[in-house]
Amino acid sequence: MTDNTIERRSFLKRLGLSSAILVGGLSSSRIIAETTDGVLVRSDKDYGKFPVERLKQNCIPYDMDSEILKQMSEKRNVFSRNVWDPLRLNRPETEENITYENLVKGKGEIPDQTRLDYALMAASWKYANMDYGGVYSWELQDGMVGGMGLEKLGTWDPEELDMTWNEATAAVKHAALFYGASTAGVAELNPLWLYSDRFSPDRKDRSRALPVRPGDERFGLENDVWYIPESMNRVVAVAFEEDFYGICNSPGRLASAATGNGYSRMAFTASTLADFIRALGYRAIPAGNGIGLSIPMAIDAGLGELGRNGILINPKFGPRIRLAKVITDMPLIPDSPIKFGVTEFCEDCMLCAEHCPSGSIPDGKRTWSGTSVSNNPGVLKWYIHPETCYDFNGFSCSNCKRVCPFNKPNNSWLHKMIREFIELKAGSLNKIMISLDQASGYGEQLSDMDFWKMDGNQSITAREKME
Amino acid sequence: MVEFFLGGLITSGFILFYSHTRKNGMKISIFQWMIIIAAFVYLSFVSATVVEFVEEGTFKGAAVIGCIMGFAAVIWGILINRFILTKSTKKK
Repeated sequence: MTDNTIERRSFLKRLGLSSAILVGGLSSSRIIAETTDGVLVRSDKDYGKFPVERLKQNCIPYDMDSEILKQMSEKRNVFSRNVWDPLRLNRPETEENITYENLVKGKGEIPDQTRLDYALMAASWKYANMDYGGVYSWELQDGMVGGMGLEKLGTWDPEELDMTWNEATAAVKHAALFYGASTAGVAELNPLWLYSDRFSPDRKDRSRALPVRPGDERFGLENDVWYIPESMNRVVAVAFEEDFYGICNSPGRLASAATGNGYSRMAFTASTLADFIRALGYRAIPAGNGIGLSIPMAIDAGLGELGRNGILINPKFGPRIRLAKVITDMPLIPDSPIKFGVTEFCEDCMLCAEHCPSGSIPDGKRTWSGTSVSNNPGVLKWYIHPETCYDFNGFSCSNCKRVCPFNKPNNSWLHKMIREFIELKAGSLNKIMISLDQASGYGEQLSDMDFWKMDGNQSITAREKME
Repeated sequence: MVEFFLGGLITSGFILFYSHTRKNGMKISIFQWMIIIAAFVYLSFVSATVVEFVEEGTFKGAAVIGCIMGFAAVIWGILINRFILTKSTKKK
């Protein structure tokens, strides 16, 4: 036991030192001006040097109606409804399945869809579906953390290493990046973003969902009810950059490969980060799409703003990200939500709506509710139509990401200059920039063979390119 | 590297231009020099933008921006020639 403690202390000291370096890096954020709701900052590490308004803690970058907004049932999301909802059981076959039938089963040739593309796509999703293998388990599974008994040493106090909770929070975010996240943020958990139930279909009841309730100290599954203690009031939101050139192939299979790669990394990072937190003696629930709504949690954690396409737009990576989260009772210091002109820009830009092959993205103003039962009303936003989105292409289509002007292959001075204009929130200027963006050829589909002919160093998600 | 070469090229161009004005005894006022220097700075900006697009692999972007901004640079150059250089030469 003593040996373990010493090992943990030495490990945490190293982590503390590296966190100090990270904090040093983060502190390179520069305050440009004070605003009504916060401060305008420019940070190399966090925001790719783009100007971003960091809001005060009590300010949120979205409008919600607390009388309408309720917790959403996981049973109501489109993936769950595909399992039990009679309206969804007889849905048309997705284009993805049709091309698979044609290509793999030899019923015909499909232009721009090769076996090479399918191989990359299928392998990318390998770890994405490991939810059933315990990756997103609420409890510690087999592994070195349990083997060393680290979780039984009591809760770790940063003061042991003369660290503040700010530095400890930086250490947790550092660990998230270490395990493969592209960026990470911390928020106070808003219970409204948790699903009201967990979809758990069985053979007898395909629509079975077990309620999720706040528990005093009860944790996990008890008598068919999932309990999350109220002390678990922090969420670490993590984002994973998707490959730029893969997404540019959308709606082809390479975009699905980029998406699957993101999902697989989500599973790895969320579960390892949860084990890291458990090794420090705190509870942790890792989740991909489950447990709750990732996007509002990530917005609260300062990872970006919601776009017209219903996707989080991150200042550094644009819409080209996947999200996961870890809910914990570790008293981490929350980050501030941010604003950098996305809502105003999306009001002028219709590119995603125009290029959505299923017409699932609205081209009008933001509303308080959507037209689908899979929409959760009560927030002023653009409600996409999840059924038609899913039915077009399963989950491969990323046209809305491909054409989004926030999606760029790098964060060069040229794109930074454009972002300065976006921050001005001038409608007419936005329209000129959108026209130039299109005229310049951004958002055009990349053929799969052009992808394969590229140098792999260009194709990989080279993080340094985005800084 | 490309930017460095580009900077060298435009600086050389400016030096050649300056020596040309001296050689021909052109009388150019400070205000006119400011317009000429601004034109060279603008030319550097246009070239850097085009190079950035090419480096990024966005050739269409390089062509579009190069045409739009390059057109403005050409107009600027013509105006400088017509209203500064030609007049200065006549004074000689």
